Amino acid sequence: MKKIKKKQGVTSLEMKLFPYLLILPNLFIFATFIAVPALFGAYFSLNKWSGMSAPVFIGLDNYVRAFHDVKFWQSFGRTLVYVLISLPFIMGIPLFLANLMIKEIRAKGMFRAIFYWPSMISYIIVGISFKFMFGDNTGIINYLLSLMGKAKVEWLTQGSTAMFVVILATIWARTGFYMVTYISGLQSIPLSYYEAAEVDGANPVQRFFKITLPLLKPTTFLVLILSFIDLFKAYGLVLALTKGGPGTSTKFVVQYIYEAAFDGKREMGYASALSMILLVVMATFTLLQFKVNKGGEIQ
Amino acid sequence: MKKILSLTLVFTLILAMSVGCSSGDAPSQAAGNDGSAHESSPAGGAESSADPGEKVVLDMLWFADGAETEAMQHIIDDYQALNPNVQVNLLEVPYDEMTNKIMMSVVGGEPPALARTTESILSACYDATLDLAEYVDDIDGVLAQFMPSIHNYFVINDKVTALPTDVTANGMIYNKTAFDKAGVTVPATPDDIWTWDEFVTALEKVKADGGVQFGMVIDNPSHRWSTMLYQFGGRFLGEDGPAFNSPETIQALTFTKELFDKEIVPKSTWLGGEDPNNMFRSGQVAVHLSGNWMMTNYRDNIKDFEWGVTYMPKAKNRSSTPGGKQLAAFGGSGVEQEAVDFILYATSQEANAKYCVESLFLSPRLDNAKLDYPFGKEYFEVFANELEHTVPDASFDWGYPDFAGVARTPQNEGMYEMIAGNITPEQHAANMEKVLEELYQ
Amino acid sequence: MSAKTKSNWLTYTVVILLAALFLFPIFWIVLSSFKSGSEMFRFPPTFLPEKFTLDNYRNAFEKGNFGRYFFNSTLVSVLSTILTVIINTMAGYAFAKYKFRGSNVLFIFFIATLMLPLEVLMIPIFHVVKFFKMYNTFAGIIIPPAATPTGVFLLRQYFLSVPNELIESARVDGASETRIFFSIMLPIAKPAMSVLAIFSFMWRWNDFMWPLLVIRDVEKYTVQLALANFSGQFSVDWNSLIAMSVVSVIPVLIVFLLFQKQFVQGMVTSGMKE
Repeated sequence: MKKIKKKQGVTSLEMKLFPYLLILPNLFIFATFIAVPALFGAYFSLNKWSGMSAPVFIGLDNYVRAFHDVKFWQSFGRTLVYVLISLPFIMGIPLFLANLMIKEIRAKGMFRAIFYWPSMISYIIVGISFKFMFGDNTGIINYLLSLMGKAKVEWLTQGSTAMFVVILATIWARTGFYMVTYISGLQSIPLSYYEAAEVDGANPVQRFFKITLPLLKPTTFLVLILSFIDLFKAYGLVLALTKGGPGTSTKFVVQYIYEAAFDGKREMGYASALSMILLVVMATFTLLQFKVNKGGEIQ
Repeated sequence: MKKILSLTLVFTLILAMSVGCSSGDAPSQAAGNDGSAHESSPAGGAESSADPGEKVVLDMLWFADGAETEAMQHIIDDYQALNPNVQVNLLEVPYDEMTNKIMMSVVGGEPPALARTTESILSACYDATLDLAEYVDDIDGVLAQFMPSIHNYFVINDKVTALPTDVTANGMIYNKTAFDKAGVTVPATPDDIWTWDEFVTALEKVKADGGVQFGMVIDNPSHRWSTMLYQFGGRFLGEDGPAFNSPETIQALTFTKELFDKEIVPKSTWLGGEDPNNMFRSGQVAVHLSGNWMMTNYRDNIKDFEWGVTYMPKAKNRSSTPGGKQLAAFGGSGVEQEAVDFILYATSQEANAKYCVESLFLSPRLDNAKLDYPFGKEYFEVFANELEHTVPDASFDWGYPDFAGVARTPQNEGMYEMIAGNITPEQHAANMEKVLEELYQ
Repeated sequence: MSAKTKSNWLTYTVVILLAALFLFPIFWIVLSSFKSGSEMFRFPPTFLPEKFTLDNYRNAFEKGNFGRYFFNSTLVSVLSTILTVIINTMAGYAFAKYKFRGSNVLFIFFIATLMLPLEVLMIPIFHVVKFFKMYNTFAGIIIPPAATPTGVFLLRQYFLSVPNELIESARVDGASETRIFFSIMLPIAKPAMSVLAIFSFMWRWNDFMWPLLVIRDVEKYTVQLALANFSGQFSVDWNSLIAMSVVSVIPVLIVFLLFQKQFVQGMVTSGMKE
């Protein structure tokens, strides 16, 4: 007893310092290239600034303006709709696929590659491809529909169907990424647990809900947070696919902010304020999720 | 199996890289930048320089749709042969990012020597460009060599921010095969020009009998559609305030809406992002309201049917919407004088003629009005004619400082809403009027 | 047919159906890349190219020095991935297994910045890059993006599922923290590290904003930057864009195939007392 206590006393200094050493490189790069500019961004949000001339301090005027900005909150609402509809699919489909991919199937590697491949392509190319395929008059999808005797659908000309195509493209493009994440999480569950459960007579469904899901919690939490943030920040893919159209039906919040910054009168200060608002909203959501899920730790 | 697949892919990649390396070794891509400390300078092709120590390097930010890059490279080669101590680097940047790239480089203290601009890029960056009047003795003499109608594209608030390299005209490209099939003839001379009503009747006939699905595609609701606006006698801006909300404008808007409602123009092009170029190329459309920049693209890609260029219709007036590109130089690059010298060379008569002929562009120089194009000579005459009969409102609007930035998105979005039936033409006119007021504050 | 065989058949059917759905868009793009300019947009569309042509690829390669761009992208992606995996694994482990002062706040802050659209911060970032003399250098696109919050998050979650007993027993045996990390944790983390390697390579390969911000010289362009140049002011050069898009996906695919076996291995559970 005494011996162990002494050893702990000796190593406790190392134990205290070690974590700081571990995070130091990451922290340094991050602080320099992301945190510092972010702080600048926060500062600029209190200014009127075109990016070219000198910033003019105007206090909280940008924020007041933002609260009255109907178009901003409309784009925010659209984003929320998009996120809430996509989230279950983005979390569920990869999990389903991941489960399939760790079974004893032949050519596992090939199938994994097939499902993962879409997430390797840059968002811009995905957007352009789907635009190409779903074109009302030149797209292959409508052509296939016509071969089957169905009427053509105005995929990207109507707001509701355009949203559908955007969601579809998002799911197609992101599933592979989360599937791979789930696979690595699934692999970390010791097989012995499953064997024990099988011996106890549990069927596959029970095994899934009683063993897999609980032990997968860290990974599920990861996927939840990442996909939530990812979806909320959707920009590149949507821009390439619909440019926010038709009209403004798929104009999400980041596109709105980007246009405030770079279109028209180039109001970088106002755009920074909008970014801060977005940051606060998402951080709140994320914090809530952390609290509810206890940081994604297995209890 | 997997190993074989990986190896095959690696092999393909190496093959691709070696193919890529052996082609396209243009001198501009050889080593060299603005001389600041940098790492790993690739070997590339050696430059024959008389005095390596005195070399002046000009970085030129460039965007292109295709053929112009090669044409400009030839101009650069000629210039470098005449001035062995100067090297001009063509740095390609995506068009959508050009304004941002310029802005960032300038604000960050690394301005480029030169950049290719459009009137909308200039209207955002004119604070950062040089005033050519300060570097050229007889600036008025130089300016007089260019078409007066486009001066305000690059002379902003009395500052000569750039010089033009080419001018673009909007015009009507049509599917000859479809028109012939329907038995409709296009106007042969400017005297025969249709009115818009006559034109729509003709389109309906071609749509019915010509084997096409649609009558017309229009590229976008802002720059391209404004041609129609001017033809109906409307405009965006006046001297002292917006002039959009007028009976002529509302007539143009209503007429346009009808075109969509009658399915003469497919909604999917404006609302659904369908590419009008692709639709015309696929032979589904009778007419493309576009411009001279499509010449090379269509020449190379349309093989299934015959096409041509004809005169645009008129309502109250004839009009086109001029566009074009310029070359601007920036302050703080350290090579301002050399940059200006290059601009003067590239926009001089001989060099400009060579550039325009090779890239199939219209020249903004009065003395290059009739160039010997290797392709589509008759078409260029039509485009030039359109430019000659353009109302001054067109270049006034598009050359107004900040206009493009302020007006484009609201105009696009308003037109969508109008076509979709969510607002009336009158409402859109009123909304835009409010938006445009910003420009006068 | 036994229940097991039946479920196997079902599994295979579902997998193959889904794979077909996932493959369709890529399949369509690849096919289109072999069609000539006039055929690509023909309506009604053709499935197989009438005239199989490599013209699009040839033209695209001639438009730019793509061999060089591929080399640049590969160099940047590989180096950045190595850096990323090292520093993110270290940080992820620290957040997972140590309760140090400010760890929660710091971690939340890390994740919070994921929520900032970087495009709006372009100008301040540019100034910082310039300050460190990284403008127009490869270092400027290798180092800054390496501190990925996602990577740290990924490794942290993975380490969370490693039983604490492993560490405790090692400490009891007198191992130093450094030794625990290098000899025990790193090997265990191989699956997650492989995943991060795959992801990181893909992220850096597809990076657009960083190279746009940092790179000036054409010889230093990455593939994504060059691809964006196919979208001109008036028209998109679809033929070249599609061809080059197909080619640009290949390296990422190679990396995936090379690494995917790694994270298939399960976690080593030997040496643990239950």
